[in-house]
Amino acid sequence: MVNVNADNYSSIITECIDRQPKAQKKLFEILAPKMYAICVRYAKDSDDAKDLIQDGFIRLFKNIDKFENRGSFEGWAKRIFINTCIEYYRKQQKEQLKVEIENTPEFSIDSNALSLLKAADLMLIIQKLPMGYRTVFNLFAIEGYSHEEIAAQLGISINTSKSQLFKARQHLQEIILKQELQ
Amino acid sequence: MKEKNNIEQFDNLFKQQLENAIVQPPVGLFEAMSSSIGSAAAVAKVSLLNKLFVGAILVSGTAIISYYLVNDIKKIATKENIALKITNINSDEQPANNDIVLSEPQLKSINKKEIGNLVKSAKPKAIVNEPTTKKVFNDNKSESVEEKNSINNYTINTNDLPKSNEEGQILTPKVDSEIVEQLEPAHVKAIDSSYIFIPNAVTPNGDGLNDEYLIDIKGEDRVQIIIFDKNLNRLFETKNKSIAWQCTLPNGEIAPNGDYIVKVIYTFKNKDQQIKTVKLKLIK
Repeated sequence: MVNVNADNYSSIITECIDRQPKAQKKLFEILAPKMYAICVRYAKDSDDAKDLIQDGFIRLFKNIDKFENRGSFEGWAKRIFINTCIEYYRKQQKEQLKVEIENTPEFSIDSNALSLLKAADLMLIIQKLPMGYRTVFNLFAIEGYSHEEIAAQLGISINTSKSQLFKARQHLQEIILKQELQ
Repeated sequence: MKEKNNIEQFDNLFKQQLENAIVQPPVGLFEAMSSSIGSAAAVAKVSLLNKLFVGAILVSGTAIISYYLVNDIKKIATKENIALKITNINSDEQPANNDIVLSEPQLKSINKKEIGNLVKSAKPKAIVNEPTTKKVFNDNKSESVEEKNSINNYTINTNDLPKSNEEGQILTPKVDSEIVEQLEPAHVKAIDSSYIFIPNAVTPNGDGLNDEYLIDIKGEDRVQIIIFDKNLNRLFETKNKSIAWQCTLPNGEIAPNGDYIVKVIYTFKNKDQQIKTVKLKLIK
């Protein structure tokens, strides 16, 4: 992992605007692990995650000249990848049927038990969620979008967003409990 | 309250652990995509390839178009031929023979049906699976009873007519049956290519994604797009479906965050109109 501070980014960015392959490769190497983590969270399998990270980087390099030095470059890049993932959700949504889970019992999980879970475990758990729950939970809990924004971005109603989030939490708890029992 | 805290804790755990998580991507990804990100070295090759590719598309495109054009012209020509032939038969030849005068209504009805079929087969979007009435024109003497009955439905009872062998020969010049054979419709599949997708959000923040508002419309029908703000002031209007709204106000400034109204007036080929109004959210 190469450490780059904000100043170093600006020189890489200008080189990338000139489409210099070396700079592009360097930027890819710096950003890829973080961005791949995002893609993995949204994708249904590793093949899709690979597609997503490639799509995202193609967009990033295409639009890199439009980056204004208003916020952090990483934040801007992240937004591109999240938008790519949202688009991916929309495409998938056309194909797949909704998975409904009824009568899931409510339970709360001991926070101590939760804190033992590491990022890798949580990543695996999130990947087990159905597409719709996963996307809404990612956007709400991790990316910090509001229900209004999620509804607008995903083309669903605010109430759907809320219920999907609710069900996502239930589902996650169920998965975690199952894992603990094993 | 306690439950709310639990939920927040739950969400936070995921956020803390995953927000800045790092997952090493598989090797070779960059190399696999380097041709599509337009590296300076790759650009020359790509543009050359693009030119070739576009050239190939143009050539094949014109070939296809001309093929269809020729086909259409053929169809129209043969259709007119038939119509002409039929009127000729009706006007000139019939008075010569009493038998034929008797069968005139029958002939006419067949003509109508035949032309109807032709017209159907000429429409690009129609599904034509019915068999043509080719056999009626056929000078083959072994017509089945069923076919005769179907003719009866249209006009007169064949029982009153002299045996159809003679008429058949007189009424159907060979040319016609050949033409009909040519025009016998193959199975034309319906492809409805019209499609409209009206997005309900736009983000003019310069990140290259959804910076402009473009309605995705495919199809030949006419369309008019009007965008209003909350106070119903017109901000944008176009009849060209490939023009996007750049999210600007009439004075050139970028429109502020908020809700806007998009009105799409869609005029079909048969002049039917459909109006769709959608709330558009603008987020920067």
